[in-house]
Amino acid sequence: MRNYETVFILDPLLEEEKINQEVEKVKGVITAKKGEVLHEDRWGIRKLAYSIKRKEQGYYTLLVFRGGPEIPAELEASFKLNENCLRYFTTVATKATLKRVKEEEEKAKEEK
Amino acid sequence: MRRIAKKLRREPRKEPRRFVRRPRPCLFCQGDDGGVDYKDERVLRRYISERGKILPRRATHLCAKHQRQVSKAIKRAQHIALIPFSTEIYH
Repeated sequence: MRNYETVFILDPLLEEEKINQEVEKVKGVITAKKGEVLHEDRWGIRKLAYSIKRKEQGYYTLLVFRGGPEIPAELEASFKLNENCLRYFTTVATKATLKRVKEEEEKAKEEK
Repeated sequence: MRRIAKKLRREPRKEPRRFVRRPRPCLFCQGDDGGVDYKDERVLRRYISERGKILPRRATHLCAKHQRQVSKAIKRAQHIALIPFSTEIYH
């Protein structure tokens, strides 16, 4: 089991409902393989640094999750097939990410 | 022997003083090291030129370790379109 993180960019022209659906679908791929989503961060619609598939903007989502090594492979396969996904990137979670997730968790605890 | 050395030292400099680069400590080495985050566009922007090229170490004043991390982070950020691969400059 390892911690991973994935950033993916969805077509910003999709309706909100459809975007939620797509994000849930990605999370479904993770949980179907007994992964656990630790953190979800939707950056929302952002301007792209360069156009991808003739789009100038994209809907960014970051997922941090924990699971076995088959999950990144599974994610890649599903992103490749997904026409609504402009770009995706998965890595072993970086130190910086884990630090931020921890900080946010603590903050949420304090608020409680 | 020591006396001679002392005397030599007191003599005026024959050659002009050489340029000495003052050390500038690496920014990432200060504070707690959380590594460089490829998602942090604002930080990474400081390490690319206006053309979008990754700046060399002599310009960034980073240590070798963090220069490597920054350069990798920039490449990742380029992939997810946070940072351009290149930009055109019009004169």
